[in-house]
Amino acid sequence: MSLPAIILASCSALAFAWSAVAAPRFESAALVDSYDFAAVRDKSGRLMFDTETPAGNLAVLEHVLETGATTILWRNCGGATMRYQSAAELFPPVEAPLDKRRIPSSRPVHGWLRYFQAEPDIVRDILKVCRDRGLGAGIHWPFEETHFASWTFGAWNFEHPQYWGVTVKGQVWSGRCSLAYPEVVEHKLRLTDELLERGMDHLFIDTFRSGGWSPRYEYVSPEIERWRQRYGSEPPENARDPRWCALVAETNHAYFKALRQRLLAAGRPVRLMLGVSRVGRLDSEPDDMLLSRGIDWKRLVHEKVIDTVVLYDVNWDKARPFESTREIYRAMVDFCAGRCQLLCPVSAYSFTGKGIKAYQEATGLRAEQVVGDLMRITWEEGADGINMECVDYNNYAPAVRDEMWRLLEGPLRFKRVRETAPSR
Amino acid sequence: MLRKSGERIWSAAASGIPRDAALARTGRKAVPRPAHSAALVTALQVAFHTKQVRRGTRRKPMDTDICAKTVYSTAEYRIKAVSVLGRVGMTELSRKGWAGALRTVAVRAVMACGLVSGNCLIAESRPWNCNTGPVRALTLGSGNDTEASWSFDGSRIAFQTDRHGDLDIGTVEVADGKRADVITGPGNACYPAWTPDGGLVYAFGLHAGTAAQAEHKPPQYGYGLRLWQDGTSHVLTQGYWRDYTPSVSADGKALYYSSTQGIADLREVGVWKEIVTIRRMALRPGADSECLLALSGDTKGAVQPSCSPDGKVLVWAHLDGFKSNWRLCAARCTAPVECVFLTPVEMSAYAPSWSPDGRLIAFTGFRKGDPGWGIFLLEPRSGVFTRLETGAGNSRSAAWSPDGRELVFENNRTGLYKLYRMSVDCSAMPVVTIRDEAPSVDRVEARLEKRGSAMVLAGASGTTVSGVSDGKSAYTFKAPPGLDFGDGPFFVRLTLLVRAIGKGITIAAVGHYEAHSLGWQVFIRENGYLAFSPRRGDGDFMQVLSRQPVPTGVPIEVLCVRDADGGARLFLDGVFQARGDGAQLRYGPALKVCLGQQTSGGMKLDGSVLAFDCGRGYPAGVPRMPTRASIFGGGAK
Repeated sequence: MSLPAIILASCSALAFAWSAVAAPRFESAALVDSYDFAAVRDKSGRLMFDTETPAGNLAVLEHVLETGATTILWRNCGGATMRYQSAAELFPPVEAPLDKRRIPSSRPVHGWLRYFQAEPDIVRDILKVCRDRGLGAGIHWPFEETHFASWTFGAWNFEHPQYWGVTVKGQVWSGRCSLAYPEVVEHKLRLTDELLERGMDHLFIDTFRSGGWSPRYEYVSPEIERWRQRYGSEPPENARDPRWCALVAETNHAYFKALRQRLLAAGRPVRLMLGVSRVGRLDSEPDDMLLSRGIDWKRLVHEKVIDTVVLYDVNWDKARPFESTREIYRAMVDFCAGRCQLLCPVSAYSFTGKGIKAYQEATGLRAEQVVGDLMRITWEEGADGINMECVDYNNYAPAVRDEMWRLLEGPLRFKRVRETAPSR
Repeated sequence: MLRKSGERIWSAAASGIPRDAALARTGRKAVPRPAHSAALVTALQVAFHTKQVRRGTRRKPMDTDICAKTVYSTAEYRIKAVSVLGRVGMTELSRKGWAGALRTVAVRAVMACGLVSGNCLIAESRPWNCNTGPVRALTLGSGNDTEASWSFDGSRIAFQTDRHGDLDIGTVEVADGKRADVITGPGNACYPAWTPDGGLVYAFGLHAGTAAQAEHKPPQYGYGLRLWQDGTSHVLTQGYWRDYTPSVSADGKALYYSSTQGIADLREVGVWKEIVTIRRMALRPGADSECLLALSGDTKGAVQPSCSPDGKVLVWAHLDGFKSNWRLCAARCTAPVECVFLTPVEMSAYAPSWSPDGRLIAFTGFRKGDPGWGIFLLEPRSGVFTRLETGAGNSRSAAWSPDGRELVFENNRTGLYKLYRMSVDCSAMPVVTIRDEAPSVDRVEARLEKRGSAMVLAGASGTTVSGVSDGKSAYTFKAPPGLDFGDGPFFVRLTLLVRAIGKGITIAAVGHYEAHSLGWQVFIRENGYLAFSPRRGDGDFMQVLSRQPVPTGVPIEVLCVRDADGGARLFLDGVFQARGDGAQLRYGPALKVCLGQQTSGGMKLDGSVLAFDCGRGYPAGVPRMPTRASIFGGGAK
């Protein structure tokens, strides 16, 4: 080989290596709910995934990885019932019908799962597998304490009714304990410790899944007292009163700060990720999440309490689906720049009518085309990656998975750094 | 208002019972009363009710108000009657003028006399204080000991314990506290209930594998009931479902229990198939069981059924929706679907246990402001209850001694749940008399009629609202008057002819209100089941479903009732279908009523609404809600 050729080859190699070091990987985070795989059958009717076993969960993971996912966010609970051997949620027994305050689910297979006592510990096992494979080992922890069913109510909740939510009319509700009580926050932090001890490196708090909770259930003594001291009156009956929601948001903000401190104390980097839904114009007031969830996500970003914003869905315009999506993503990237990372949705779920299927209806494109466009927009606008909600069995169809894999291993492998507008 | 603080006073309709005799039982001196005072008092009740219904103001139903039940002495009622009638008159004066005001007051007085029969007796009583003794530990050591059951002969208490890991059943001698293991080994043996002859019925489950491994549904993978007798266990029930919280009737012949049998195969249940019903069987191996209370929909449960000592009344804990609270519910054993709630929706109440004399029910409860779970005693006829002082920790699942003088319960003051016993003296409980249900305004407020070529809603006051047709068989009526039901009872009645079941939900009738755009709905689901959907107090969705898909091609009579206690009942062709709980939305004036379509014009019914009327209360043809009087019987106790 001639000297110029050697020099050229060396420079190319150096350039490639430099790009690999300088530009981090474009992330693809998969929300994984093994429960959704539990009753999947093959053509002969045989159950394909025994999700109470390591082999079954490994099979789940293998399916998810066909999308090219680089970070796994494994669901740790159903409501407040943990899907691992949680000491903090051990008693009273979660197994139906051993606590008569829980109505059992009689759904075939699903109604008989006992994740809480599966051996080996499901979360410990799957997080280790993820780490061993170089994947992001994360947990998807819904903000809810019930998944719209009484069988998901938590043991700790049942044992501590004095911390239950209360409506303005004085009705108690076992569906959620209020974060206004330090004891409740401590319980959450104990659960966090359990996850850290099991090897969690990424904690995604899913605020969309609220389990029916909202500031409507926060008429508990500490919050009422705070309101009275601040405003000298009784709290408003309208639970969507912006002042009431702002008060509740302060309590939730304190919780997220405490959560962050606990993660920082883990002795290793653990990322705190927050789900944000229904984002449209950033200057629209009042913010939907503030009114429906009592969470001021913008303040959490401003104050750098969270490491990553995970968008579930955005309020794109049906008349200009991709253009409006790009505008929203750009504004979000600018907003998060210098404060936190941003993952944008490529969502097979469509609770708000804004997922992949809605894009297909608006554009007439096939699913893999929609997914490809969304991923490219996300990458071009300089976001840190995408998130997939949730990766169930074949809801990201084979053609979609192939396209995602192709992009994530190819042109979208590394992040694109875009000059952002000054942060507000 | 001259209410006496700290006292609870019951009023009673003394039909059939001499007033003086009832008075005598209270220790009060009989006071002659003018004959007109009965009419005056009932006019007061009707005026109160009517006024508050019209204004849509919140009012606790008089018949089921139990938390702070206070009624007034005769003198207080007289003063109140005058003031209330005066206020009613003044209100009407501003709206209708002198003639209208006088007419309204006179009409209500006449209505009162016509609606209520019998004398109205008001009795005073002493406050209800239960004396309790010291709380004494029964069990010690490791593990949690829970779900105590006191033997019929009073000598032993059975319970479940997890001190060896899974649940086993043990006993403790009442006299000396000696403990014995009765049912041990792999699996969970739980919820022991004694039989009169010293046997134990309990629930048992052993799951050797995963849910996937059990998919072929071997019966032993469920929770079934067993009878332990003379050292041997006999299988009573077995299947791939869950039978639990058994109770044995006082005569030892019948077994009541909660069960999920058959739920997995039901179409009319929600996605989680989260239903548990009540079953009964003769207490012998091999006996057939029957379902006493069929439930449908989402998250509905009837747990821990218990029959009164006289065998007449069934009580259980009921949950209707994951956003609701457990409530105690009672019904005649012969008609369990006609039930009343004994505890308010604001509190959580479960684990009922009849006292041996049938006068009281112990239960576990929590209200806002309580330190934790507590033991309550409920007088079911009046609904008055009191929380017992049991010390620190959660206290739960009380059971009575056979002589009715003690309770055994579980408490976690030491960090583990252990059993404790405590004497209870309720002999000072005053005489309770049951009131007839409060009179209600029962009236059809709007009826669909054809006037010439137009369809109208004809109001009770003579007004008519013309319907806007969609060109086919659906109609919209704007602002029909009289449908401001407040939080009082109302009904919706239709005759439907369904030609075909739609691919999605189709609407038979819907009421559009400011409080909620879909204030109440009658619709047919894609699986053909008909639903009545009033709204919960906070506007959340709820529904009661028919037991079967509606037939097509034939007219069907649909009756939907929202009761004053928030119950919702559905009847098809006169047959009771289901009942729901928590329907407490307050209805102001209706903005719109649509028949055969949604308020937006979509979700059209493939069929016709042949007849429609709606109104308040219980006019002819609308069965009244069950009442405590109908469950527990009238008269002084």
